[in-house]
Amino acid sequence: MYGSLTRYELAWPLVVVAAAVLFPPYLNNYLLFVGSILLVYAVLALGLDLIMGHAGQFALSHVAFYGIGAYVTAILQSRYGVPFPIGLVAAIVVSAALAAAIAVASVRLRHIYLGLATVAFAAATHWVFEHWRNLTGGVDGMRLPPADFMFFRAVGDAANFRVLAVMFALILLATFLLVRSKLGRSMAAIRDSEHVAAVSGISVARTKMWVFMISSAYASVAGSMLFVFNSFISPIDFTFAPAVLLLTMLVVGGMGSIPGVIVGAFLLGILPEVLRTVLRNYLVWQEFVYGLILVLSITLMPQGVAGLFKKLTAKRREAK
Amino acid sequence: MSTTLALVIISGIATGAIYSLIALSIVIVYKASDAVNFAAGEFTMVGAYIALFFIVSASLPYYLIFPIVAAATFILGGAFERLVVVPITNRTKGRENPLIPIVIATFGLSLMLTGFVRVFPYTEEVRSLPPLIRGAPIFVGGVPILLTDIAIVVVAVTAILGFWLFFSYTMLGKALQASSQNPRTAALSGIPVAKMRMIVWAIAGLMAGVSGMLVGPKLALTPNLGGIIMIAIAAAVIGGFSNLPGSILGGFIVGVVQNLIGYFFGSTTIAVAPFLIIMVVLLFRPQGLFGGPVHVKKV
Amino acid sequence: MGIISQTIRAVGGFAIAAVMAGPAAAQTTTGVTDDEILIGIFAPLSGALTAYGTDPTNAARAWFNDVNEKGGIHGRQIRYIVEDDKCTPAEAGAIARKFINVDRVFAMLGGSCSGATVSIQELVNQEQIPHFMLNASGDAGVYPPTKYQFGAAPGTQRATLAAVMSYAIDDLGAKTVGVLGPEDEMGTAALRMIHAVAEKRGVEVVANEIVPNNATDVTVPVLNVQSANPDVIILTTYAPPTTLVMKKIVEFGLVDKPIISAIQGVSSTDAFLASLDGDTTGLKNFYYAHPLVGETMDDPGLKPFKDLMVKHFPDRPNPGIMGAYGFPHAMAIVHALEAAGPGLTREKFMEAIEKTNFESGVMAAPTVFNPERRDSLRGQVIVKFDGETVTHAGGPYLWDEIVDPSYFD
Repeated sequence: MYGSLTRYELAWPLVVVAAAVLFPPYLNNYLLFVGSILLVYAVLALGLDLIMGHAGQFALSHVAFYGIGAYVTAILQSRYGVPFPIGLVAAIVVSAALAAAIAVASVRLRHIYLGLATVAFAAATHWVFEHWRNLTGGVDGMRLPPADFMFFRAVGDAANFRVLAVMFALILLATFLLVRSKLGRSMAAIRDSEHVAAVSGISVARTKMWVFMISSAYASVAGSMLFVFNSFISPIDFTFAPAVLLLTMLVVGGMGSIPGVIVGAFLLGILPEVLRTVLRNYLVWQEFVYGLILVLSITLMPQGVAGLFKKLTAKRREAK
Repeated sequence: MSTTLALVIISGIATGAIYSLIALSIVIVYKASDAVNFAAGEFTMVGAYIALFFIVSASLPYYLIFPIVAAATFILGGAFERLVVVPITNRTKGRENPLIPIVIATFGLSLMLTGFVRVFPYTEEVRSLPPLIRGAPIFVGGVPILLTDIAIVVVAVTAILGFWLFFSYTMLGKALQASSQNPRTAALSGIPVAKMRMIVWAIAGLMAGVSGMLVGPKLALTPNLGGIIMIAIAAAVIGGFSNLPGSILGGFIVGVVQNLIGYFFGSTTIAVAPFLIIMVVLLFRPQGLFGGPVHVKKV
Repeated sequence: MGIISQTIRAVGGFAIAAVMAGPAAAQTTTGVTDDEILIGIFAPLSGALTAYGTDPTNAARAWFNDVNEKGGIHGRQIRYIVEDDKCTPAEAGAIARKFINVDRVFAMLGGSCSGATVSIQELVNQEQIPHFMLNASGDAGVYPPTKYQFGAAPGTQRATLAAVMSYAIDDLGAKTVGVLGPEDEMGTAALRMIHAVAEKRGVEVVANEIVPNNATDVTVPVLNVQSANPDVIILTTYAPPTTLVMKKIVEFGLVDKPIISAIQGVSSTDAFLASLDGDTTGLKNFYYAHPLVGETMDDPGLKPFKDLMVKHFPDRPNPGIMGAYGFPHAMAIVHALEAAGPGLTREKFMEAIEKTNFESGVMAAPTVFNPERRDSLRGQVIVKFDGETVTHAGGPYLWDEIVDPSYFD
């Protein structure tokens, strides 16, 4: 499980990049836009899965770092002319630093406290987005210029999608590397048992802090990605609702499984497009259906789609 | 003390009483199942709407509605434990911490409850429940105190006292406490721990549901009322999260402090006050304001 | 009814759309055939803001159905597709692109929240597809005006607060006003107009207290406004906090001071009274602003529109007052389609829409679009409500007659 990357793990990011180069001419703007949303969801979900699925800690602050990523990149470019790649890095640094502060304050404590502290942090951040008007435009939102990539400016849904796909491929690669690293090993050990992990010489607090920082940085990257393909952001984009949606992606896909989480993000991402047709006359039930999906999958499908798939293939092997 | 300040504090106490009940509901579940019930606010909302339904459709008086709301939310809480929490705990037994899946399930429940309530047409507009008591305010030193506020505090405190008596002096209550504090020993002494846990969730549902009947007259009733849970969590954090009397006091403290922050720093800060309280307490006194050892995990 | 087969079909449809709909077609007018005009409608039809979307959507659909029953427009029937955007920018963005690139609509009519509508402003201008907001009324969508986005069917905050301030100053003799409201985009836009009128008329804003939409205890803001002792209290809160504030005002016995509610604090008198649990003590001196010809859907002016809605959507026998806001822009589209003539192109439609000026019969002021103007409704009326009867108090006031539009540049 640990060590160097497998062939598949090296191949997938390349496949994503190749697909991003080849497909857009055949896709319309609607699909490119939905595709862009799916990529952002996937990065968010991968980040949340690091802390929840791989390290077994509860965190609800992703939506805040998602917003910080979007606002920092957007503000730096539109107010100070800082190109996107630099803004992206700056946003990552800001997010990781804030995450470190939260982690220092709460990882020593009881299990649930990181969860509570992150909920409070997310709500407080949302308040800041709404009130730091000189910087964020407050509740009126912010109109965004096309992202400046130093060498070119992405204009149009196809170019945006390509940029996002490349970013997603890099994140995917980073995730594979991370899970196979020493830190990845420590994460898994902590998830399985903090006691055993501590006994075998792993610094639990430090590992938790690193994972929380990295997973928050993922959310920040997702926020920067949001900036790439949107012409407007406002604090409404960063309320609590996407946080619960994100949890559902993890649960449906299967926590701790990278392909599972990506599948979960994609499934939940296109769900509104599907429900639109299926529930046509019962749209008002959507919220209930989302809740039901979450409760049913966490109760009946603990390993998510990834787990089901594993079970199926195992059975087939037995049958042979 | 100026009249204004007194009014601000009194109103904070009345809303604080409601927060206390919800905080209590969260904390007893936490003690029994080690998980935070993020749907507690929705139990409050559902309780309020059940009351509204019987007032609007049958114009029942409060003393008849009270048992209906209590029974409905009691069953709802118990059923959730049986149908969702039990399968999760069974499957995670000894292998992983059930906290994360249970908490996630409560998020799902909160969406389901809000989504369900919203389907009824009379939830489209803002509603209120009638005041618990009608009548002119009482003046204490020139400061008017509303009868509804007094009634809210009285009902909340009576309910809290009732729960305390129940937990401390009845067989069932003692068994509940024992199985929350030390499930293994409790099981050895013949207490059906699993059943006890279901009763705790049911009682927690009831507490939050009853708080809904107090919220109804005091606040505006919409299906989004469940958001009140963040304030209740702040109350529980102040109390140290597993300390029952602490969370009750915490509720009153949040109610008053929120208003005082607004009074001294401007009304724009009221909305963010609960979150600041959570962060500050977690940062400086994670064990809550009322003593007790720090629950730092030994690692 | 096989929900599974429907799901399979939906997923399949999604996949087919992916393959079939290739790169953008040549620039012809999309959404028009010899016998059909295709309109994309969207609004929040689920989630927290459902109430803002359901009835206005039905109103627009009912109007189109009615036009179709009467023979359509120049021999063409209006066909529409309805989508749920939940008021989120992400879903609005996806839906707008679906309408434009997959369904290839002629025009769009949709949006009940300004965040969702503003987020597609750049898109519709780029793609040159006219977008009429359904009942979103935020300032950001229409000031400054953009060519392809049309809004403010119920009037912007400028319209509402111009009416409120004029009435407070002229009829109630206010020298000072106190404001209670949210700090969101509606609240801040409202405050801008309040200050504009105050500045012009030499009136002082002595209190500005924040009441967020999820407020639980409004004691502090209400007491602060009381201690500032304004001549008139202005509420720019939405319905839930308005209820809280009114309860507090009764509690503290501030009932003698005139109170004017702006923004949709009072959606209909019945609902407002129900939200106060029938307690009318706070309504001694209570006024509110609205843009309609009546206060409930049963008022003689609005009854025919209600009947039309119920005829086409019998499952909602009592549509809310907000439904009325769905009519004007549906009417504007129909008017412009008629004016554009039988050889309909999007250019002809745009020419026609720039000359929009008609009385909808629903709104208190005319519905107007011209090259400098994208907020269709500029007038509001003030009514007095004592808990039983509603009496007309003032207006319609037109905001551009009260404050010169150049003030905001």
